[in-house]
Amino acid sequence: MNTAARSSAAAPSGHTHAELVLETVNLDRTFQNGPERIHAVSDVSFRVQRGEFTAIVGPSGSGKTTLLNLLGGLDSPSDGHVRILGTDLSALKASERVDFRLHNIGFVFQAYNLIPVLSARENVEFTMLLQGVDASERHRRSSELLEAVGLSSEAERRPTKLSGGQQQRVAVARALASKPAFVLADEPTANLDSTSASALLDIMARLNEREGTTFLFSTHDQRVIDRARRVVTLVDGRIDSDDRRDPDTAGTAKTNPA
Amino acid sequence: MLLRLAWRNLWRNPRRTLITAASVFFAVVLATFMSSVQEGVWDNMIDNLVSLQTGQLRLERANYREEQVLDNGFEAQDALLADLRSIDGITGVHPRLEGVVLASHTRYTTADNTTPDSTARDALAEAPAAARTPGDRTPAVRAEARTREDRTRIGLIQGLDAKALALRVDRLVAGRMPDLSADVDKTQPQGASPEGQLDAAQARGARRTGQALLGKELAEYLRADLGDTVVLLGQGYRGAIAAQLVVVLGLVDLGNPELNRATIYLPLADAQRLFAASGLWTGVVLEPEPYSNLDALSAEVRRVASAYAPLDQLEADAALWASPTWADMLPEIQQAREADEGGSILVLIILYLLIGFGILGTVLMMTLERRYEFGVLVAVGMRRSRLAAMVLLEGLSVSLIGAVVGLAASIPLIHYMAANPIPLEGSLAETYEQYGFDPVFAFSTAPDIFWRQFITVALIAMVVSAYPLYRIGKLEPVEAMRAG
Repeated sequence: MNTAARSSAAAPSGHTHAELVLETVNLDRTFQNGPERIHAVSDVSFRVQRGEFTAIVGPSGSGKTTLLNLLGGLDSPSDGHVRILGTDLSALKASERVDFRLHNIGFVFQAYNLIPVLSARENVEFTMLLQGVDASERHRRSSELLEAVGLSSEAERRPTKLSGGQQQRVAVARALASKPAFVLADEPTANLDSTSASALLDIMARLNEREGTTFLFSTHDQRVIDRARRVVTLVDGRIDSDDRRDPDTAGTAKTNPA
Repeated sequence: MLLRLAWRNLWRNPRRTLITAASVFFAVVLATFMSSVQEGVWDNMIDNLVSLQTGQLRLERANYREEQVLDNGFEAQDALLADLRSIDGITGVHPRLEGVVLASHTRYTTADNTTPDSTARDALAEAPAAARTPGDRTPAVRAEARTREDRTRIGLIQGLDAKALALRVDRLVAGRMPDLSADVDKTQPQGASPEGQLDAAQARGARRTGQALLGKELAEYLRADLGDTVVLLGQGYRGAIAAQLVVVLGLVDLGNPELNRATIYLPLADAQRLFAASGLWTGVVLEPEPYSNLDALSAEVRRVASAYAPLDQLEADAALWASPTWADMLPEIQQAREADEGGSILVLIILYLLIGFGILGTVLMMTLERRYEFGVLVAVGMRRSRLAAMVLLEGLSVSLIGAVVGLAASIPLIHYMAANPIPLEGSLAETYEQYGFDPVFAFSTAPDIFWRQFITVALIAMVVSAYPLYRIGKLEPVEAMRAG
């Protein structure tokens, strides 16, 4: 584990826009499908600063999920580099990448993916447990996070007893529990009704604004796109546009693909 | 939390977990039951042979096993007995004198098919005709009508001490045990006798004779009844002639046809008198605590004996002594047992395969249906090794639940069956007897029968869990989540 990266990840949150959290350089990911070579991601280079609230958008098959997998160290690029807090993920062994993810990246999945046999609190504590955080600190932080996502009263319920929106809020709390450098959210609102989606976006926006948590979404949900302050559009695996918005206009502005 | 997680995962699908645990449960009960019967039948046979013939462990002269003759015996030494008795794990010591004789019995049958007892019979045969009165219908008249039948067979003498004789009381099927108090008329009935009482003439004769318990088939062959006199003839110590009359005090069923056909139990002193071997033992049988390590005890016995010298040796030496275990003394039985157990291993393997596939099915389902979830866990930072440990715990837990409950059911069941063995009847019983087995399904309660199941099932569970571990080791979170 890269200790520099870890300490940086554990740094107090706040708007420090100058700090580079994520950088991709000429990122390429190809798949062989029989004789055909598919370029899922081609020559993608961009940077994400601490505190950004970024949506990666694009039509189905544009490479959003592949790019997110590369950014999260779940997949290895065919070419190019992903650097998180200065650490090149390609240089890490598989087991090191698992540890790196644990300490630096939070994940929110489309299907929530909570552990069904654990309560909401235990789900939130899970990544802290893997990090070796002691029980009292786990309990303190999980209470804090569950309160932040408005689920204090549901802490001891299991996921099956929670609504989809509540489960996704628990997933957000879990993603933040390990104090990651940034949170990758793959279509976080895709399975939610508009009320739940709106509530979830409110929570994430609040965490972003107040705590400086860096969020990176893949989405084609207009509601998410509307709330993003930066929108990176992918078409056929390439960046088609990268729009930054004024924080004051985010939430009302439409995307403006170049 | 890993343990809690594994435990809760187990009950995500309670029906499947219970079915798997039940398959382990039944397999453990069956395997335990089978092993118990197999070992029980053998143990029963060996117990018969061992307790009645060789003993579990024995001290003898080093050359006795090669040439089992009286001349290879050793002198009785009370200090040696005391030292042997003080060995940890030895609960009893019994000196013995063993030898081979011809046992002979003459039977007279009268015309009305009554058989006078042998002592009276001999007196009658020698009574002058003039002494008989015409009206006397008892001895003289019957004597004229009698026919004589001589029967002889090899008998294996076991001269036993009082305690060893007393241990055989449950083998007595007729008559009574010898009375070893010195001045008592040995043939007088001491209590209720299954076959009636001995009369005064027998008693008079018995003062000159020894007392014997005969194997029931030997007695049957010799046509010797309770109270009859049997002649024992053979070679005594250092070439002396062994000749003795013994009264048949009781008949014993030793649960083994071979033993029943040849065994003659005498009190140790009577055996020494018979063989002109006063103060001589051919061996000391040692009683170990149940399930002792016989090899270790054997070494200790030899060490203790090394301080003593047999009669014809000037110096004490461990090399002069041997302390064979029953398996050393009955190697053919041990080999037959091993061969039989080898055959049953196949059946056990089938049972264990059933257990193995049962567990494999569960673990496979647990792995495959949760592939997406595993992908997520690795994605959020759970190391594969931890994930593998969790799945291993799940597999082991379900196996051990089945094994523990299986053992919990087996232990009382087997103990009950051991206390109430199933008697065999008809041709199966005859076959068993032919091969020297007691015709019963006896059950063994040896602890290793039970704990062996634990180890075997745990090992099977570990081996079976290797496949999911392999899958987890190769798990790629992206592929796993895509497949899900």
